[in-house]
Amino acid sequence: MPPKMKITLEGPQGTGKSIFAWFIIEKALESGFDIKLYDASDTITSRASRRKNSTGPKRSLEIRCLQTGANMSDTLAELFSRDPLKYSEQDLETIIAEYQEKRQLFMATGKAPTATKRPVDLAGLGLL
Amino acid sequence: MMQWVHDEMPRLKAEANGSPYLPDGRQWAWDSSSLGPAKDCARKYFYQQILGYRQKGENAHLTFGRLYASALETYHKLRAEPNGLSHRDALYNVVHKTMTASWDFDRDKPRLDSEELRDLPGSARYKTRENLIRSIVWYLDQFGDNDPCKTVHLADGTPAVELSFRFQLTEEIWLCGHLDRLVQYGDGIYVQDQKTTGSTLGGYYFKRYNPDNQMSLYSIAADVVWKTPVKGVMIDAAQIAVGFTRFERGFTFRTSEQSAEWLHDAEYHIKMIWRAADEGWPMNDSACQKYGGCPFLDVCSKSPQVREDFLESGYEKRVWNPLEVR
Repeated sequence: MPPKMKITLEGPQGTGKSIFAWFIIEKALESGFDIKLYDASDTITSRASRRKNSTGPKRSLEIRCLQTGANMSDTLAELFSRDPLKYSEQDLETIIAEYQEKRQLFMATGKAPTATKRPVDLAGLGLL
Repeated sequence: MMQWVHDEMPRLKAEANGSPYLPDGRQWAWDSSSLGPAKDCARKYFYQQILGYRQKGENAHLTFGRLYASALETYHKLRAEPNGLSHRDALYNVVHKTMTASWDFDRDKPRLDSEELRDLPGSARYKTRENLIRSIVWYLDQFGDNDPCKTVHLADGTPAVELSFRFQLTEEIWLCGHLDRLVQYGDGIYVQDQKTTGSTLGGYYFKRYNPDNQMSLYSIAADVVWKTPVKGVMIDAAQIAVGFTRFERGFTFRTSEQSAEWLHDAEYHIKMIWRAADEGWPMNDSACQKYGGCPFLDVCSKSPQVREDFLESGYEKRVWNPLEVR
């Protein structure tokens, strides 16, 4: 049986799990892993590539992205859990300002606010 | 060119009690939501429109779409001249209204709760309250104060937002519905319609609107409301994703010949569905798997003698009346 590795990425909605998963996939494909990705968008992606300079069994990597809740600040989460009829003007200001700020970040980076390009070290992840 | 008939007698009795049905049970008032299933499958129309069955629980797509469109309609109403509010004040009002409309006061908790939606299939899990507010704020940041298209005013001075329409097709058939907004854009008048989707936006996405039952009806209805031909329908689509909402503006056009053809075909489909009642509402089994599967797939796949039990236990009744004013 080829060795099977599993990675689970867990975090709130919109924190960059999917992006990070794809950075891992890029690197892992280069290293000859078969990939299965289980993402929040229901997509199950399976890709195979030949391990370079190897005739041995292919290795497989399974990545799961698990969402644990909404990606929002504690202040916003508190406001969303409260009866809106009791909002003050300041409460509304806070909600609107936070979403406007998220949009500015999205417009500046072209991706979800928290998704940042991070270096992926497969050895550091225990895959090599 | 189509002819408008103005004999109102056949529907008066039914209209008096707000019913879209004639005394013999045939539907006389048709909107795109009831005409759609009638075109798809007579059995689906029977279960959904005549008996009023819907899938149990809240439909996240419908609730999200309704609240989103309603928020933007409210914004445009509040902004409408001559005494319109500023962008900031209108935005605050709309966010507050939507936060209130998406709060379940009976259960004292939010609707479209992300924890409750997270196990739903497809993009329904993204139709959360947080993403709803984000989409409204982002849309109005992008289009609110800087939109090149402006709300037009009807002859009586009222802003052309959330317009109910009704016009006669034949002696016994009326078409009705609601338009989100009429706008001036460039040198033309357009119907503006808001759509939310989980799909990536682009040319492929907008292709689905021609031919399209709803857009054809809107295009014709706008001519009736505005009393001169409008240029087309402007579709402001919002892609709701996990971490962002992206907007794209697309257009769909109908020539007067296409509109005449659509009206002719609509009459045909309506007359066919009237006949279907006498034939036991025949099933169109080539439509069962469309759009991810008909909501009544689980019923129609059962033997006829047990279908009623499945309807009773698996669905709830929420009758749709095309004449209901929003």
